[in-house]
Amino acid sequence: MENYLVMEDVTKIYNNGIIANDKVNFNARKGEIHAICGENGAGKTTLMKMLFGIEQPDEGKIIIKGEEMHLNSPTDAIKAGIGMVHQHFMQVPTLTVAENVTLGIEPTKGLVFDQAKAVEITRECCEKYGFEINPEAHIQDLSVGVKQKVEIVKALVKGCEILILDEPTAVLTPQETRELFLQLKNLRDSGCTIIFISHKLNEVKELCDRVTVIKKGKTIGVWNIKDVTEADISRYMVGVDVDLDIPKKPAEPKENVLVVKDLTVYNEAGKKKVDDVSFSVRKGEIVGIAGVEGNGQRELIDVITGLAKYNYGSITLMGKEVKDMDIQGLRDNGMVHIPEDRNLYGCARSMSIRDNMIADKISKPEYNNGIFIDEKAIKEDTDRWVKEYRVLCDDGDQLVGMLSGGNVQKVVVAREFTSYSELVISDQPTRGIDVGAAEFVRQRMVEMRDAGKAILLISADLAEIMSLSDSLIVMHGGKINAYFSDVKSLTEEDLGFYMLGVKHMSEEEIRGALHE
Amino acid sequence: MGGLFTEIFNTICNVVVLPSFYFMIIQSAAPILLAALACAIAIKANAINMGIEGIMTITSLSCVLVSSAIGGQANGGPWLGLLVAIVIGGLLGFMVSVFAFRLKIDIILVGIAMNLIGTGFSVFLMYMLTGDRTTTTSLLSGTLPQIHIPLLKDIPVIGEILSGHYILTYLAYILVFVMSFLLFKTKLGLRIRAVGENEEAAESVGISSLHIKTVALIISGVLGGVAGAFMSECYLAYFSSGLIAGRGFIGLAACNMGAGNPGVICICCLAFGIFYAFSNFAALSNLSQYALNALPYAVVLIGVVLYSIYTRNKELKRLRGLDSEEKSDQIAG
Repeated sequence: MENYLVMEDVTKIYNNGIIANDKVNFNARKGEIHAICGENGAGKTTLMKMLFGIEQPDEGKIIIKGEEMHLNSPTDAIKAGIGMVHQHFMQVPTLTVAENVTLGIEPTKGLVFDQAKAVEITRECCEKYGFEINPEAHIQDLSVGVKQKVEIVKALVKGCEILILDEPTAVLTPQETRELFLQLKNLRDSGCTIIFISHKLNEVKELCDRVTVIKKGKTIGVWNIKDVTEADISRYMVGVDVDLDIPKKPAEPKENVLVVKDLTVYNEAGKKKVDDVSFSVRKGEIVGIAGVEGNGQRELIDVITGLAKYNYGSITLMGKEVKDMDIQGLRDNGMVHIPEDRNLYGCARSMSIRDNMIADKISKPEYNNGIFIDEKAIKEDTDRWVKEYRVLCDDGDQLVGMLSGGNVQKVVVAREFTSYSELVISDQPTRGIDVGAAEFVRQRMVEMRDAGKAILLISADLAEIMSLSDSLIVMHGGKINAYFSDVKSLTEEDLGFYMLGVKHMSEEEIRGALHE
Repeated sequence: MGGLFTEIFNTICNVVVLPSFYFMIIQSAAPILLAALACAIAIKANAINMGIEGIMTITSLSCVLVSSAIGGQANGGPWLGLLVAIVIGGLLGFMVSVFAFRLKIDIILVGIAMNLIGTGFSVFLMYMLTGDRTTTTSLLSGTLPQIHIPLLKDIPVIGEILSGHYILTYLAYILVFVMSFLLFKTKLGLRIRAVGENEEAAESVGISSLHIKTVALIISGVLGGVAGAFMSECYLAYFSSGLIAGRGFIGLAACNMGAGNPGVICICCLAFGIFYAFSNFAALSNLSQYALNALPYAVVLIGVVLYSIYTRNKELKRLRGLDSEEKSDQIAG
């Protein structure tokens, strides 16, 4: 059935002015598996949130079976026959499968929750669609793969006809993935429409019937899966609109500052997120880390910057093991950090620019007079930094929370770059800030490099990472998938292939990332 | 030092052979148990009822006032007092939920405020109505009845221990089962646990977490009211400032140690009850009265520390990745 689900010219502009979806068109047939592909921040998740009633579109229509729908909450969406399997499962760990599945539509006998009936409902649904789950097992005892099946059953029990899966294989083993695909195909054959969001192109190719590619909030196109190759999809998804022109001399790397060796990190759920990673960052170079979100970069940076602990492998900063260092210790040894989330980790929004800039240096003798703080010295220095870093504000006493995103970032950069540093960790330094501020921050990073600092740059902005980095690491599935000692020779098409795991480098080439 | 240990040892030996010691354990544990159960239902809904001490204080005073107002023991005053304590407790629980979840004030702060109001307002009200700042002994409010269980009361030793308690003591232990049933067998209990553990998951299937938390806090307040009534109509026959003496907080501690599970909570409360009873009985010995008075609180402190060491070790094990070794063949997304 053509036009079973239609999203027509859907536009969503968030309060902070970011246009997440710009007249996106999407349509799905009854009984097909339809992939949505796109880079991080391309707007796939926003589009699905609108379909599931979590967000409401500013413009455009959602039409299901020829009828225009106004979905104001997930409850509305569930009533309209839409189910969603979130990346983070919406489950209560200590309850049983049956209890989770029937939560919200609990069968009762008088006051009592009818456990037997709940088990029966769950078992029936499982049998109907061929899922092997024990309805009486507790969620916390199940593997991730089974939990995901529970999530699907939860949607099916409520009569869902359109099932959205947000990167469902990100958490699965290859065997579990194979099993999931089999079940999804069964579901499709029984008339269910499945929307499959994924970065993994081989899976899209294997499972789906059609693919819609979204880039920068716009629909690029819809293809029958048999008419396109993985390389085609990758090319449609990845692509840099403008080349950033950042003037910089060739790097002259010297000795190692940060050495990461055989590092393996598990997340809270006990899943391996960083898998035997080794690399080093030397004085006078910018090392970029590129990768699709969720491939271990987050966890890697968290352990390097002391926000999380690790047990396998080693990280050394200026020759010292950092395992038992606290954040102050890391800073004393020369690490500065521009965190990804500047509002949560980067600054105190309810304090002044001055206080924010001086926060990490306040115990230094030059800012203290005996037991008192030397207000004058602080004012002198922070006023200078405000000028130097071109923070647009009334004066240094203005609250950071009142500044625009770009200026907040300049305050963070000013604080970090005026501290003693050997290593700069720069995590998404220009995300969500205006062009002028972004350019300023990038130039400063190049200046720091030329001053002999080691810089580790993590960015989802491919243009930025390709033009700023001297050498580049690509992460895929928690491992380093590629290392380029010279970024100039790298094409963005190739980078896309490595990021999406279409291509892999040999062990030997990857080992080049560790300069010993 | 040796002398002290001998003294303690002798006192223990003298006390543990008395049936009345065990009677006392059961009785001292009852108000803590009521408070702990009140905290349990709230905590299962992820709404910590820090104000339990204050709720107990206010309700224990109000039941004395109501009881004496209608003529005390002879006119069934204690029963009306209990009813009023329950109603006021429920209202206070509702108040906590309004402040915390509708007006978005930190629930811990709301609890602290409730405790401060409890202490200050009760003394103020008592002085205004009785002219006495410390106790309401001038009001003849009476007590709730003691129950002598037929047959059981005639069995030696066991009868002495188990029979003859106040009606609210029995209620406290019956409520352990009622609470287990409510939390683990009813639809409401299922929803409370779902909201408490994963609010997002509950909301995603159309359950209003605000609604569920409010109901949990009202029930919590009602139990707090029963606990308050126990203190001024069973434990004593009047209200005095400092009557609750931290029993609400100890209940909160017991609730945390029992992770909100009524059965385990009951055991924790009985353990605390042992030390309450011991400090009562040992008052006749040569041991320092001050040290004895502090004993139950010290034990609670030690208990909480041990519990937190236990949970920390569990956390450390997880960090070391011990749980994950069998999954090491999985690859990250």
